[in-house]
Amino acid sequence: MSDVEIETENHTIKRRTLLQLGAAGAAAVAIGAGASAVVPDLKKKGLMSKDGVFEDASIALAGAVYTEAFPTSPLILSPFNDLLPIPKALAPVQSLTYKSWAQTPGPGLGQQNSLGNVRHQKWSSDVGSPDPVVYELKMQVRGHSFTSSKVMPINSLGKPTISFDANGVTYPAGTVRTLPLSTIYGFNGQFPGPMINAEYGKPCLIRFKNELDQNPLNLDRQDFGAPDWSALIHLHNAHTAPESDGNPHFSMNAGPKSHGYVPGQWVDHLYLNWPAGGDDREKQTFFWFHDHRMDHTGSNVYKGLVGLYPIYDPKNGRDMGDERQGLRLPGVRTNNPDGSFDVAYDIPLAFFDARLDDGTTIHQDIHDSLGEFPDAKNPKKHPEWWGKTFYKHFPNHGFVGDIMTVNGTAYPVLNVKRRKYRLRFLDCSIARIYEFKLMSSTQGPKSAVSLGYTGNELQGQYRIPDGQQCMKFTEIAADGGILPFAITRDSFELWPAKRREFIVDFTKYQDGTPTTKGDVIYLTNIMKMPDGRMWSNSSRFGSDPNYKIPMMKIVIGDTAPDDSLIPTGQMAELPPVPANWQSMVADRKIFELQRGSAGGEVEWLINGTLFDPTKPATSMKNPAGKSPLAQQKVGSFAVWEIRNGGGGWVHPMHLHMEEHRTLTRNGVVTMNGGNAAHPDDMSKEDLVALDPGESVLIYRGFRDFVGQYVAHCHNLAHEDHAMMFGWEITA
Amino acid sequence: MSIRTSRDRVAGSLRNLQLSWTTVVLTAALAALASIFVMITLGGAVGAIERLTPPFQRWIRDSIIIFPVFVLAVVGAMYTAKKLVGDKKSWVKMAATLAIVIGFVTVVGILVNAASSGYDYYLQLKLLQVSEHLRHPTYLIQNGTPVLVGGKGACDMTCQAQHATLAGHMKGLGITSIVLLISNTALVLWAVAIRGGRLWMPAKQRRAAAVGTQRMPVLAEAVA
Repeated sequence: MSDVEIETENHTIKRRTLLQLGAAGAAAVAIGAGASAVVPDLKKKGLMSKDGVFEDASIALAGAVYTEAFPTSPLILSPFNDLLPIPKALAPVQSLTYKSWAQTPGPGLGQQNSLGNVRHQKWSSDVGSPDPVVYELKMQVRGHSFTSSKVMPINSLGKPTISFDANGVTYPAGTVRTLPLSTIYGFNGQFPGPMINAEYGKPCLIRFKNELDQNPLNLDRQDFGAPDWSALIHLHNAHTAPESDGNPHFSMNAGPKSHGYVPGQWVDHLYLNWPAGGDDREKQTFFWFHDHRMDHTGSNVYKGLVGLYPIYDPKNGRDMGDERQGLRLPGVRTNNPDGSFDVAYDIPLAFFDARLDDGTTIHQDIHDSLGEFPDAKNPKKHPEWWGKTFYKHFPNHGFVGDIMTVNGTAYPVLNVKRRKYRLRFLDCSIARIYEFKLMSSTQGPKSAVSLGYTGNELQGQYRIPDGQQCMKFTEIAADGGILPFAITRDSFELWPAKRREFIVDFTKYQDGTPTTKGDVIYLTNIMKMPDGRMWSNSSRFGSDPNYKIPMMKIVIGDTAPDDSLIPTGQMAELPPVPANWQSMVADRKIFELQRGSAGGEVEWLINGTLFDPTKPATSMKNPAGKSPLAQQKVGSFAVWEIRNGGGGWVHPMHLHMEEHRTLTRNGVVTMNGGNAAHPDDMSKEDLVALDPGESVLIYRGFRDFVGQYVAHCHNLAHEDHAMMFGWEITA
Repeated sequence: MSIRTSRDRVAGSLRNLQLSWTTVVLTAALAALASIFVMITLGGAVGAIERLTPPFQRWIRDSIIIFPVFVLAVVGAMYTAKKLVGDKKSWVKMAATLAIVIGFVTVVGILVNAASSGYDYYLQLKLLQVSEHLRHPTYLIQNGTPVLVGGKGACDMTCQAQHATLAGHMKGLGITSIVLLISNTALVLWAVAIRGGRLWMPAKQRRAAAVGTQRMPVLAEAVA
């Protein structure tokens, strides 16, 4: 008996040792395999921290909880054939004409809008400028074509699929189709809207007239765009009085006392084209105007309410669109007889991603159940809308398109001369962040379908597998205008609403080899962003070498005269940050952007609360122990902190009215440059690009006007779902 | 007098269970860490923002707080297993015991998640109610004029948000319950394996216990 026990004990010991060794080995393998799978994933998302693991897990779980279907847009069969639309400057309204209007523009009481209840806080003469140049922009319902190419309807597997038309006809899989026009709400009926070339010292007054009740082409309005057809236009990010700012904090309390101006109403926005504080160092170079209607900004912008507003600085010829003067930035100016001017070789590029209806995806979101679009009878499929723009107001994962457009055209061609160009980049997408590179490709674009991609990998539709960087960008300006010094960049990120301006020299490649006529270059997006949360791959956090989406084909043409220069010295002086700024930090105002607290309409919050347009927000408690209201005395300067409250999202946080200087990111001083991720932090900006979990200190002024303004996330799905706060300048 | 009797009774029962306390503690610790990780993940996906940050710190803190509950769950599972299948060495009995342990810690984990989710939902409802006055009426155009949409009786924005929030929690709980079952299975098996398959007190200690030697007086006292 005793022998048996000993044998048993011996046997047990061996078995136990074996089990222990096996468990230890399994743990080692699991940890090793887990780390090799998880760590790179965390790194490429910027979540490589002890808290990032939880955020990544939450993202994955949220992805499983909130399943959302989006259509796969039909494949554009002949990309890179349509020419890039290069906008011409809009002609102003002649004085004889606007003086004959029933309600003429002017500084008097009630002259600011059709309701007769607001006056302009400052008229142009108050800042020593002449009377404004007057423009009229009508918001109209029209049709828009993203491409002239034939298309092949495909499903998420990239296979040919059935398609439909407005007459109820179903076309079998494999039928090549022509896209129907998408219904847009456009300034003067176009997308993007007209471009106004403005100049400092020459104020502009734009009469925005809402004609969205008129539908002369009897177009189907589908199920997005503000349901009351109202609109509120914001010139992003001009230094304007609240009544001309187009923000809901003002509009809900004064003026229309509503979300926006409804059909039949008009409002005059006076853009003084005058820098903050009258300080030349505050001058900017590129604005854009877009809808800001409370709760429906995203749907109105996606519906087409976007326009361009480059602004030049004629003082001492510094940046007046004439490359022979001042900074000698590329541009050849032509003054038109109607008072406008155009600048050749200076091209705005508005990037916009769209998704087209496949007719088989159910339209369903919380706005339908609120009765906003009763005619659509959602939840429902809409085969009659096949090929038209598809929109979802409240996607839990954010909204990104799978077709990339530039100036309203998908995959266009830009024919350039052999010389330098000034390219003004604007991201007017709902949520997509881009990272651009200039690439050459010997084999040219291949459809993602032909390369075997499916699902989200089909986004962008085309790839250049053999694409190689061939040129660099010279960055000369950002949101806040001309940079102090030019920055040479291999690639750059463009977040929603941000502007970046570059000189590209099309005479030679980056290795010095001259270009020749007929050479082809692709402006390529290398940031993979499968949904509206954030990137899955980018240069900063681990690029996907196979993700090279050609957005625009650039064809080199004949040599042209070029008097422009690439700046090598100081271009601009920045408004100073006081030496004692650190003494202002303790008493700062703090605003944290948070993934919301409920699964319905209130998904996005700031400091734990919804946007309340009736009052200024309250700061989180600062290190001085105070929770002040978001109010500033006119003429004051302050340090604010903007935080990303986590949840695995990135946020482009926009602050109206004045540009700011970025002081620190996560406690590291960046205002003098040196941040590889955000090299243009050294300049002025109006939008804080908040990486996951990031905290940013900014310094800015509150000058010249009093009243109500807002700050908000420019991921428009976030903005429309309460990620905004009101702030106020007091007398 | 009665307290002393209860304590003695519990201590005696624990002695009679003849557990391997190292295995119990290890299993409970792993299950607690897994459960709280899943709970925080669930909160991050569908929960209330008031409890979101900072997750790592919360993971450690809450795991320590919840640890005794999981110790009780493992002890309870072992007690149940002993009653149902006994503690004699056999692969079938060991598998049955492990299944019971996995079941107990998973149920406790699900309950912890459900409680956390319920509290999140309560916070979310409070926020929805507080923010109800910030809701803005929805208009649409009828016959050319803006008309207020909805009205009494209709499920308004707050009501819609409540439904959507609850649905998110229910679906999240369902998914995390499956995740917990899988992770607990792996963790319990691993914990027992790393202990060399030892679920119960070693034979040497059992014999000592049988002759009245108290092997775990401190733990027994602590649990009692």
